[in-house]
Amino acid sequence: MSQRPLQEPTFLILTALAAGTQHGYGIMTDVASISGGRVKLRAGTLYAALDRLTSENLVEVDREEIVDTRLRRYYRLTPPGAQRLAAEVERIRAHSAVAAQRLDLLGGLA
Amino acid sequence: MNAAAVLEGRYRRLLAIYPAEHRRKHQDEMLGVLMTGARAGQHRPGLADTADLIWGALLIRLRPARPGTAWPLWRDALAVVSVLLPLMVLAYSGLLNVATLATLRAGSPIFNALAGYDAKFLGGWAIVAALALLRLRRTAALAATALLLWLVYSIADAPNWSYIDAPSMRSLTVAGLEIAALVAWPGPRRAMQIINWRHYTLALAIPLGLASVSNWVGLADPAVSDSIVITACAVTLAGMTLASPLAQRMAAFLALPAYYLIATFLVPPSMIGGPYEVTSGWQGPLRVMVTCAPFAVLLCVALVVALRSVRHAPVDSREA
Repeated sequence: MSQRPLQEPTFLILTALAAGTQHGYGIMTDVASISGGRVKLRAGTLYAALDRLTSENLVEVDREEIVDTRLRRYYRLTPPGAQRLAAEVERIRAHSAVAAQRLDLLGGLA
Repeated sequence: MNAAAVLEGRYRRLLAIYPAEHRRKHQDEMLGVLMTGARAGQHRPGLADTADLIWGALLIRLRPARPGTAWPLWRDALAVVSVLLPLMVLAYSGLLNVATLATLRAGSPIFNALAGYDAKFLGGWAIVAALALLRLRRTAALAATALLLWLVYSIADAPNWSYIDAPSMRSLTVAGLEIAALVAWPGPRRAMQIINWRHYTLALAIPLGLASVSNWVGLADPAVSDSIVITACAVTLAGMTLASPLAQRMAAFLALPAYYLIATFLVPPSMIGGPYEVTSGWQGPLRVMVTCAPFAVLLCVALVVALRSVRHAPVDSREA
């Protein structure tokens, strides 16, 4: 069955976690870095997404730490999460290949 | 108190808009992230962060509930509404209608017309209330449906559909809500396990208070009584949203009738047709907007919920 494309913030969160476990603030800064500063996740959007991804078993809690009296929870990608991200990458790659091919037919890429 | 403590307190108040379960799981963590991202000396949440937190809370609240979480509370709220709503209607409309009749000359044509309408309206609600209190859920639902059909007939029978105004819409939505509350499982039987004397007292005292203000203060100064009724409705709904998760959900159900109650007093009768301007006919776009806007909003919310349900349904159930 073909899956629905991931929304960009979701794709970027999964991509951030593909590098290893990260806490909330780490994910936010990593997403900003991956997107070249274009996508700036904030706490509300991030935790709504993390809550959904956790309930869909694409992401899970790795461990919790207390840093400067504050709770820091680390998240990691689950095997189904990695598969979902891989499928999305493949989908984007396939679309990009077709797009590039057709642009070549038009007279080559700029 | 330093700026960080002030900021944290404000963030905590903002996070109160999230469901309790979400707060229990993520509040400390979110506070940590928000405080880490705060500027030195910042003592107020930024506009973008505030908007994002409200948006996040909305996303969480519109998400279909997981089994065994929020739905039982919604069902309980609907069950309580099924028993208390008829009592509220009887208290509010009973007092107002009797007070109106008292100002008319007994036996006059308008007295007879109004008395006939009131007898059917209040009689219908009294039957629904009694059946609900007797825990006869299905019979009460049938009686409420008959009442709704009669209300629709009354509107359709009026010249130029002129009864389509805020008070009529309130009657229709209240009857519709009562049917929904009775049809939805588990209904009055469950409500009786939840309701105590305080619920009954409030369900009677608030509508009686509103009707009294609207009638007796309104005779002296309509503008003052209108302001009091509008404020009392808003404060009651706000109080319910803070009182308990069950009252919060009841407030969500009662918001639509409350909207039409407020609309009755908020918009000048000449523009939408007030309680006594039943033959004024259509009064232009504002009247249509005031009466139809809530349904447009409800339709949008229902669409969003339906789309999200489909989007987040397990793969197996989507394929089925």
